[in-house]
Amino acid sequence: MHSLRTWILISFLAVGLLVAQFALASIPNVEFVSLLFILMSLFLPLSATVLVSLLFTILQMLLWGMGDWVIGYLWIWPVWVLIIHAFKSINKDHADRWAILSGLWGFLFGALFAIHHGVLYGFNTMIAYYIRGISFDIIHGVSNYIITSLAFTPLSVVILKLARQYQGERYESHDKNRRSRTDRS
Amino acid sequence: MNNKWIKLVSVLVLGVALYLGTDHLLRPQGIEGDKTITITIDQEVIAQSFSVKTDALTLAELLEELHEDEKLTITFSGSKTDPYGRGLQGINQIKTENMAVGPQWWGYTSPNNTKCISDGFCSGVDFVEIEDGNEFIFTFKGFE
Repeated sequence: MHSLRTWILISFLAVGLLVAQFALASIPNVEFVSLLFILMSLFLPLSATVLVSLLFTILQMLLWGMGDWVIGYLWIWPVWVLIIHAFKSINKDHADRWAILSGLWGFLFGALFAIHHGVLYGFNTMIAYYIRGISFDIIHGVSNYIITSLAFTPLSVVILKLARQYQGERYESHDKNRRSRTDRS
Repeated sequence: MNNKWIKLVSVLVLGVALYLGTDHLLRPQGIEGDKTITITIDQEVIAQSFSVKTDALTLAELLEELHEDEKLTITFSGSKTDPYGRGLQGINQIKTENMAVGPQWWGYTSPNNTKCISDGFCSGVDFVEIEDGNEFIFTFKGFE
């Protein structure tokens, strides 16, 4: 059970994601959201990060209206959060590894959305949606790789500094990496 | 230039090449020749139904022809090179002011276009290959 303070943090992070998503909404499939999920997963526990992803989708629904994509986002972003948490101990603070994972996520995102369309509208729709979206997925994967390569290290420094300032809560899920950073510095 | 930038530029170049390649391969080739297409607009202000003869390969080309011939005033959003092609933003005076929020958009179905039937929906106007005898029904709706 999360404290009120944690819920406020979760709400602010979800709004932050929404702003980041909105800022790049005019460029198809180029987004900061995948990277921001990685960064917040560095200090937030899994349950809180999943809650951020769910709240982020609900906020988008309030902004853009209800559509079949809302149902998709409600399970696809949590899948990304689960993948990030599964790779946390492997990737640690290696920007290169996170960039590769984020790039692969860009390709997987389209495939998962195709499955989502398949469940809702049938197999043919799934195949048509996937094939038609391949060029979209390429943009997503490549831009995710580049954005994460360039921004992971500077942003993770800022995020970890903010996480340290945000004391009193048990956001130590990444404490091994934090220690290794401290040791090096 | 250090290794990091070489890697990033290589990924970018590879990505652009992949994008252009898949986009070219997946773009519809269309069916050449004269076709008769029936257009039905199921919208109370501009309700109409008519047939046209055309050499257009895609629904977008047909709509462009109708616009040039002043049979309909068509407005598109986006560009042909977008991953899903252009969006149909307006027919005559009925337009979606903001394609992101609607609240209503132009949609179209076809009871006899092979691809629309096999996919279960019609793709973007630039990706619907039209066939002789096709009928397209245009509606202006929000989410229901």
